[in-house]
Amino acid sequence: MKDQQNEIIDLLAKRFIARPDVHAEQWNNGGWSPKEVPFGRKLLQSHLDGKATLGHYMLSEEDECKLFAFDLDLDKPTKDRNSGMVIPIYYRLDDGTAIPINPREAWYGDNQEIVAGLTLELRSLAEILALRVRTMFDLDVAVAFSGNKGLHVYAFLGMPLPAELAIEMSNAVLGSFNEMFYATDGKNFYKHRSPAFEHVTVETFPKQAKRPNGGYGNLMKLPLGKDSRTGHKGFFVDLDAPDDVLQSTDPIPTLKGMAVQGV
Amino acid sequence: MSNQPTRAELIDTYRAKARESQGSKLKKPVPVWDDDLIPSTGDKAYVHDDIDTLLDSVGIVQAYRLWCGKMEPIEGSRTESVMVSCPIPGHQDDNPSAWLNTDKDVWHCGACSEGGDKFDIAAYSNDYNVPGYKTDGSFPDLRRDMAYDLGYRVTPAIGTADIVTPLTEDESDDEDPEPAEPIFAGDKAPAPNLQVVQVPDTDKLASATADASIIEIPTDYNAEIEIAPSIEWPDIVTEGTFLREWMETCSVDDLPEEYYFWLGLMALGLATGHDVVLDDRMPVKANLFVCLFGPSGIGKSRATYPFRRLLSEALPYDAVDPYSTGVHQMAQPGSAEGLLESFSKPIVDPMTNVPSGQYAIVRGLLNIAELSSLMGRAARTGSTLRPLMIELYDANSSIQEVTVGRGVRKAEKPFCSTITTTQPKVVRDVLAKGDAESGFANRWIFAMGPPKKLVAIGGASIDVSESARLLIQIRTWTSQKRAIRMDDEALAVWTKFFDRTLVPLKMDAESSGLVARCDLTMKKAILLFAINEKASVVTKDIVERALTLWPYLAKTYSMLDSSLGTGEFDECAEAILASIARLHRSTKKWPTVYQISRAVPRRFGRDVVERVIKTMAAINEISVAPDVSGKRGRNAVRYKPATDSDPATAYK
Repeated sequence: MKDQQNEIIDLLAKRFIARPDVHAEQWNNGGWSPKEVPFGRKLLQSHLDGKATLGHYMLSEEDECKLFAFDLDLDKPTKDRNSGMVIPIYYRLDDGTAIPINPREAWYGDNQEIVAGLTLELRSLAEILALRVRTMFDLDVAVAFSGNKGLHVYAFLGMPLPAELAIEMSNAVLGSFNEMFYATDGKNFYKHRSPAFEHVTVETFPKQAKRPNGGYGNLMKLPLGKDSRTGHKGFFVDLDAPDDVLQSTDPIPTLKGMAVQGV
Repeated sequence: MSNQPTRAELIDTYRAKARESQGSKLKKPVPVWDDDLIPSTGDKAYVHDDIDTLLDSVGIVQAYRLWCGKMEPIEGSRTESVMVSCPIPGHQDDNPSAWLNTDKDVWHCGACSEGGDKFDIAAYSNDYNVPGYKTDGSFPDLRRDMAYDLGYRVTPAIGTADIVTPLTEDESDDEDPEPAEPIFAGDKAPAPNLQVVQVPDTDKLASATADASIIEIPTDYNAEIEIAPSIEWPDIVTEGTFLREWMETCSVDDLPEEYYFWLGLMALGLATGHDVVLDDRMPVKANLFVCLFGPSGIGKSRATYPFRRLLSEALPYDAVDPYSTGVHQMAQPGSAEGLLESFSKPIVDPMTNVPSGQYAIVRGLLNIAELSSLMGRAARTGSTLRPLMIELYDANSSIQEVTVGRGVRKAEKPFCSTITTTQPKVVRDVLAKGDAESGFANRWIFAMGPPKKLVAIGGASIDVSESARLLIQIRTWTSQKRAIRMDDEALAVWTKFFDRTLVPLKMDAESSGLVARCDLTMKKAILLFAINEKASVVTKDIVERALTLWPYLAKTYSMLDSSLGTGEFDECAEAILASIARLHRSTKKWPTVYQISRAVPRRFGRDVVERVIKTMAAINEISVAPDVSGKRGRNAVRYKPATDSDPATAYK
């Protein structure tokens, strides 16, 4: 058991941590603050144990990163900036009726038809992206439940590479769908045009090609940790399980790039 | 990765693959309007980066070439002292005495001691006041013009950055002296091929009711709606249909015929319920919210009497029958709970008299005496009346409310049409800006029309029995559930209208909040026309006839939203037409929006003038003048009085 934990820690460090001298910790309200304390075995163990929730900054001091990723989140109703009116999001039930939902709440709600439908959307989109990463760049990929409102699709570069290139690659993956993804808000947020994924937004990481002056740039939550806000523990998703459920899978083969059979 | 490529090789490989797959496609597309409102064929607007990036990319030399062009600047390796003829139009300067500095992107003329930047050069070229454009509020216009000249269309977007889209090949074709399809940029409204709906001869209409026993009241006590827009229903309503019969019956009355027109459409919707919809991403339902608009005493409520008689006769409501397709006529709700209760019809097991837990669908006509009273109730703290009414209008789902005291109250797919009345003086107070934009006010159709001579006593009585017979036939036809589609030709006409006319209005941050939902209203009109003709497929002809309602709707919304009385609107419109003529006489060129707004009397205010210009363009009272300057790039959009308003060519 101890060996297994150590192996996971090693793999997390190898696959994810581009900037080892600083990490971020999530507060209970979901916010993050940087800690200029290097990642260590103990720290990562506390992350796996759910005692702390750690984030890794995407860019190294040399502006390189070890992965690019797609953060798939369920959408939420937003307010129209002009009128202040909430713009509702509808879900079409099997009987044809459309009901307004907050997908993020509905995913944890009682209506199993909606829960399964939203899971299916997330899973399908994650698999489509993972598959495209594989076919385009022959990279190892992994899909993880973030512990909160969606999934992360990771594409591991195998070694630290310029962040600029990683951004180009993530954009190329979305761009290869022939304008099916369109930017919604800023340069890193996208939505898929088809109604098949109408409740999911896609955010790409890394966001910066170079670290902003005096800052670390954006971070991502390390997988397998507990989300401080929801209390849910993240896990790697078994892509061989039925499409409308999220089942965890062994992180070791996943992180070694051996386990993503379905993709 | 068995052959272990080097890091450099990997980077090269990945970069090549990334570029191969056209990642650049991501940079453009961003539809920013409500997805639900995009027709299936119409999502063509994309966000480029932004106008700043676009204009930043233009250096001073390029600006000089593009907007001045007096000579070809010879750059060489110089970054300053690139000698050119002075860009100021009045300065002949045959021996170049100005120089461009590409380091600082500025120019200076040694002869006239003037200088500036690329914006000044573009401003000279586009007839802006230099340097006045920097302080008089026309700088955004200039930037849009510059973007145009660079081959981009800029559309102001609501709540987000302006949308910058490349002009299509046709649009940017300089060779075509008269673009067949004027395009819209910023405050340059489109000139759709819409005909002007003429105000009918009220004397002629009134003479239909001439009768020795009638005492006529002169109408000039109310000049305010004298020039209200009108609907030429005999041209667009097919003979032998319910709506035709209804209009022919009711138009003998002395009330504006537009009241009856919208009530007739509403009756068609109530006969239909959820059973026939227009196929769209969110199916378009046939219900309407109509507000009869006119001064007190004109008899607005009187218009509802024959309407309600019609419903009672053709669509009687059965409070017990769960399958009743009759219309439940409801009085004004005291509260949201009361309103929901009216639409809640629990199905009771007839054997045991026990509620089955299921609810029947109710078709309701909500009759609210005066819009302001509804708004008053809705404005009370904690009232959910307004959101509930919005849900009822949208008619997409069941509404359920669980309260501790009363248990579950559920309205199963309520189908609600609403009728109310209001007065011109009240309505603008009622439709405070917040309401216009809250999505509540823009769900209403404000029915108004030119008044006829009022009849004080006697007059024609309205017999609705034949209309009722035809409405029953409609109900029978609609009882077979169907989603009506537009055929290809109809879709093409609709899409063209949507893209050319509605999208620019929706994108225009300054345009009325009331027009934000106008596409839904137009789709409802198309659906109701199809139902009236029992058409299972919407044809081009139906769409074309329904679209003739657009100038009417645009004008009603514009008049309400611009805080203008209808009299003021037309006064301003007249001033605009006069200014256009005067400016054309003196300059031999058709004027721009900016020039017009400076030329009309100040009391109208520039924003009002611009809004009226847009409305006039939208209803084809003025149109975009062809560009005859022969200059490179696209020039400022100029307006001229419309000449072509042949309805036969509209949208073809």
